[in-house]
Amino acid sequence: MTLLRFVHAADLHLDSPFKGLRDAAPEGIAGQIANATFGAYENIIDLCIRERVDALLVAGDVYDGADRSLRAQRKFIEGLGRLAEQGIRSFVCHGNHDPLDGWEARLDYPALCHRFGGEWERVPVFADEPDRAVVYGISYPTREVRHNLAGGLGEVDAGPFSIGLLHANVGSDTGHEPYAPCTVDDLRQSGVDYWALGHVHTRSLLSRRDPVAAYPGNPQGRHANETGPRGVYLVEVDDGGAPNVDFRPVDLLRWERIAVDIGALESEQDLLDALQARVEEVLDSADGRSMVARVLLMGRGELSRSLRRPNALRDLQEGINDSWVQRSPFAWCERIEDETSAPFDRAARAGGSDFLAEVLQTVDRAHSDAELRGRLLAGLPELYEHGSYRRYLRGAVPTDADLAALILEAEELAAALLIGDEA
Amino acid sequence: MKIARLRIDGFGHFADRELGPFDRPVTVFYGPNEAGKSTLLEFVRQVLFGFSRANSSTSYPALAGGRYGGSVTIASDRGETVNVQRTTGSHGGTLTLTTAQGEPLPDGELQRLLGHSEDVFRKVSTFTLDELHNAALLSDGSVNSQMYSAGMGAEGLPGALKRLDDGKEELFKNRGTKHAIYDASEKLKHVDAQLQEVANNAADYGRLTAQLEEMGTEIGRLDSLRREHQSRYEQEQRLADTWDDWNALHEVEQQLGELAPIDDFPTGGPSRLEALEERIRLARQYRDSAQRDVEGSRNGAEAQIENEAMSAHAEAIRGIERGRTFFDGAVHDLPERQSELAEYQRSLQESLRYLGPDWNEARLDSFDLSLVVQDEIHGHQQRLEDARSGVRDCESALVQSAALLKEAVETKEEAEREAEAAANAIGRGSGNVQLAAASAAAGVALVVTGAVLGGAALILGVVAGTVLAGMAAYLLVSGRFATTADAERGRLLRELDSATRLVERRTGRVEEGKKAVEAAEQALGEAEGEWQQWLTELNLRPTFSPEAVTELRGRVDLARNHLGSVRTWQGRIEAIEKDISDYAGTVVPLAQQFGIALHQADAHTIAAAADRLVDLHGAVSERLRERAEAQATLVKAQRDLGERDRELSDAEADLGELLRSGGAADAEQFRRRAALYQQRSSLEAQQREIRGRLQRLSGPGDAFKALMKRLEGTDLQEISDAMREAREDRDRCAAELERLSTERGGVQNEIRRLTGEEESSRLRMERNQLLEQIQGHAREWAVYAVAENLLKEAQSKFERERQPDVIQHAQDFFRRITQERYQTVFSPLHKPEVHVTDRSDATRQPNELSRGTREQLFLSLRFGYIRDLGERAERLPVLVDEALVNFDPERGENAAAAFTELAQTNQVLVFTCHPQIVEWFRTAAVRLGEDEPQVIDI
Repeated sequence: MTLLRFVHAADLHLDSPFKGLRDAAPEGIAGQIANATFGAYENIIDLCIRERVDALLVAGDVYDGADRSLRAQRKFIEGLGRLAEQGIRSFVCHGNHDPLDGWEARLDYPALCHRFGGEWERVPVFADEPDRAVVYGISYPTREVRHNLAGGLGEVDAGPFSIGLLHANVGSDTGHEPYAPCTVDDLRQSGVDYWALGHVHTRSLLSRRDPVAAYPGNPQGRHANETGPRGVYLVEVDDGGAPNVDFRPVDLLRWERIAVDIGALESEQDLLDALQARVEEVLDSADGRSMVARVLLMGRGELSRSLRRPNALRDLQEGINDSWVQRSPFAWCERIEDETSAPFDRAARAGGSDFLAEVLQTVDRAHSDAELRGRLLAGLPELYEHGSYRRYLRGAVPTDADLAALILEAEELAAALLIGDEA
Repeated sequence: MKIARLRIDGFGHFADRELGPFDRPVTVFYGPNEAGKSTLLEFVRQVLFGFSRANSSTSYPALAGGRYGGSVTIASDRGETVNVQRTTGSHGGTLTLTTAQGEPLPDGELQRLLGHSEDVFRKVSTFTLDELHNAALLSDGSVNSQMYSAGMGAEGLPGALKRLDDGKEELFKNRGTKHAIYDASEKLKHVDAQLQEVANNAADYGRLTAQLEEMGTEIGRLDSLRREHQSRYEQEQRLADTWDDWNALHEVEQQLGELAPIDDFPTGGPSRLEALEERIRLARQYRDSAQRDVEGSRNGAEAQIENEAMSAHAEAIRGIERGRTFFDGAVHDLPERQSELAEYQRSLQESLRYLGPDWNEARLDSFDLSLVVQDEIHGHQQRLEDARSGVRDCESALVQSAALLKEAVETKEEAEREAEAAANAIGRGSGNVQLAAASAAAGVALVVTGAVLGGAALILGVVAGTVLAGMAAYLLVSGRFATTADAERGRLLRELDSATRLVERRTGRVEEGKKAVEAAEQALGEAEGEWQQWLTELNLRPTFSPEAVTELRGRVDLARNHLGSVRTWQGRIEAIEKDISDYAGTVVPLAQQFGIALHQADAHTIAAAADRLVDLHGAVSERLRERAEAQATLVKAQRDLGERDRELSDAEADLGELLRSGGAADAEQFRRRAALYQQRSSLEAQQREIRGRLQRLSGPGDAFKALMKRLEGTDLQEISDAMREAREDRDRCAAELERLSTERGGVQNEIRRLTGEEESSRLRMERNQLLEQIQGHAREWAVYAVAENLLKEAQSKFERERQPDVIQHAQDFFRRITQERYQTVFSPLHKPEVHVTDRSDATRQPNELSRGTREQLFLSLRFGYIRDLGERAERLPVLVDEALVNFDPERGENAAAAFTELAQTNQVLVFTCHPQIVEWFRTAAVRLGEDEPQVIDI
């Protein structure tokens, strides 16, 4: 027998555009890319109906309030309305992207939907069986919630199966803003049986039992770092109160990184073949979904020289997209990153006495010579602090970690220019 | 290399002039202007490297006479002394090389001895004041290549720096607008502006939803008001609609009050009255008609009929009528049938005669013509043919067997003859041979005889003959075998034995053939016996063949047919005669009974009497039928008359009843009362209809009463005014409602558009893309910028630490000449430039120096080149024409010291017209402890 079945979703970010795209998607697939977050949400609703769950739980960041997308809010409510027509309840809390004091259109939520306010609330899942299962939830009153919300819940009733719905940064190394910070221990002490968390976009089971604490991740990857399957947790709680957690992918499109080492490749055709083989592999494992791919070319080889020709990467990108985009499911290469190097023995060349050796030695010295490093990087503020452009470059100013990479890239470029066809 | 002496045959204004030897490191040619210093300098250059063209600026024709040209004696660094002579000739003059001992050398040796091209000699090793100012020296390929020697890896640096600079500028220029970041940022600004507009959608949405709510309230209020006005209007409309009915009702009720009351009247009274009156009229008419029918039918029913008795013989007379035609046919057919009978009888007699005298009708009847008999005949016929065929086949086989036997006997005889011939040939066993021959001849004779005789004789003949032949063969062969070789003997024995066995086998077959012939003949005899037996049994001649019997059967069949025809016609004639007789027997008594005369008893008379009888009977029958019909009519008419009487009395009773129910004594009064009742009923119906309509409009009960009361208290004008007022109020509300609804539709559409708009999604995506592009461009620019800095950093260090030897030598000279006023001389990587730094480390370009200092710098650079060249190749003499004229005394002396120092490796020839310069060289020599210069006045 089953005590409760529900779907745990989070971080829908409806109508929030994909990040990191420099080019507009080709005409045939632009619509799918633009509407991917909606498509994934529709898949969640379909899953709930198909699996006849008792409830859908959404753990914050339904949409980006700053975007003020009426469409996002309307679509969200339409989805909940579809659930309500099937008698499926929905529980929603808001996170840092859609706090209670953020912008919100005056749209009516279905009667079977409960939205949590800025204080902890206790709501039975089944109105006619209040002691069967309850949801404890809280929304962000405002974006900047830097205190521990989980700690404010206290200890919950031991009777009914309990779910905690919370948008929070659990742990200290999530790669996300430390909103509503807390620890797994904080969660454990509350006595909640299942913590339905949101905020971290990569799915993870922080605790597998007593309690279960889970981030389902966002249901649709939105940039090149959000690769692989994205979805929700389908949770089935047996009569004994033991939850069984099953990940279900719902993403419409899948982000993937395709890395190819050019070291062993001799011609552009070899490169195209290698890319084709990789994209086939990735598509095969994508459950029939289309794919947005970022291609990373690396390694030392002759091809590096031809890749540095003007527009070479763009030509390559257009070349592969000509065929990839036409297929179904499609694959769209949104960018090619070139980290390849020309085929020369750096150590040997750096030990020489010619001008290239001087260049390489300069780079080597820059690792330890802060003054030299400063001279190499001098001039960057001319752009990054330019009155007209700095606002667009905020967040993109090279950090200390970036600088080393930047210098290495510069060395690669300088060496390629100096060597020319020498090698 | 050093120049040892000069011999000028004719060059410029020099003729037949010898100079030298020049055995000091420094030689100063001193002379006033136009003494020929420059001419001497050019003489050396042109003798070593070729004369200039006659019309060039450096052409020095032999103005003072003498043969054009001369010689220069040179001593190489390796101690070789060679005289280089050049005289007039093509291609720069005729060159003659000779050793110190006067031995000629090939022309090519000169290049080896000089070690450098004319270019280097002209541009580096010899220089005038003008040439000192020629900065192009630095960009000259042949000279510049000495600066940074190949293989230092900096060849690509200028190109690389340019590429980086171009790349940077494409992406970003601090103050420009033609770069990628600017383009993207402009697009971004545009998108931001659009996003700002879209952001207002949210505010619009709030405003519009509030507006929508207000409009909903107002629309509700107006709709309620409009319904109210509509209700009022409809109420007045109802009053207006009822006004005519109201008036009509009033009038109807007035008319009803004026009519006399009548409570009840039979339904449909007038029409019922008219119907009853018509019914009575018709009943009387039918009754009179029935009366006439009774009287009319009575005479016919009682009429008397002549020959009425004939009706008792109706069946017989109808038989006479039916047989009348048949009777005529029989009378007509009889003679024809009798003639045909005679013909058939003749044919029968003819057939019997053809069969034979013993044939009559009885035998025809008894003869069996069945198929069984025919089949038996066929069986006998087949058996007889088979038996005869068997006899023929056996006889033929016997003849063939006899022929084969004869052939076998002949073969055997041939074998025996061979045996005999063999025996005779060896001459032995002759007795046996003779005996054998006799035996063989006897055997053959027996066989042939037997065969011809046949039967037992054949068997005996063949057996005996064969034995004898076999004996003969044995005798022959055994005798022969005794003497012949075993092989021949064996062959003869096998042949003879084979022939003997063949005769035996064929003899047997002849015997078998004879037996078969006998058996076949016996079978034929039996078949013939059986056939004859069958003929006898059928009382037929025993000589008849089966074919004859078959023919006989055909003839019997024909005769029997004739007999049948005769018998059939005899029966038919008898029947005709009987029919005629029977017919007459029926007609005659009846004719006599009813008085029909029969004068003769022939067929015609009887036929006429029959016809008369039939006619009379027809007339009687018609009379009888008519009387019966009249009687039936009478009965029916009498019954009908009674019925009509009853109908009339019933109708008259009904009329009386109707008049009573209508309260009338007669029909006229009845009709008057009916008209009154009709008028009242019509008015009452109108009254009900009008009240019904009014009630439907007002509603029942009190509403109706209220309506009536309202109608009583108003008039049509008042109602019309109220209607107009209500309609106008309603229409105003409706117009306002429509306006508001349209407006609300617009607001709803706008809200739908706002909640469904995808523009902001697209703009946000585009904004992200543009930001990514800008950041991507920035990153790319940063790489370019760092790469540029990296190259420049490396370049700076490279230039600092890795200046070429030329520059380093030049720097030494320059520091000394300027007494270290300037510290360094350096050349940027792959730029045809030199820069100097002074004591304050300030860098200056040559054009930033004073003329004298600039000349000292270029002089130092030449020293640098010369020193550098001398370290790697033949050390050229240095020829200087007034290069120091712009130097101050101190730097002039320093320069002279530098020359003197240089002269330790390279011979220095100085041409000057300034005694001070001569002095500088002397002083410098003293200061350096070197030999004084050799001063030659010219």
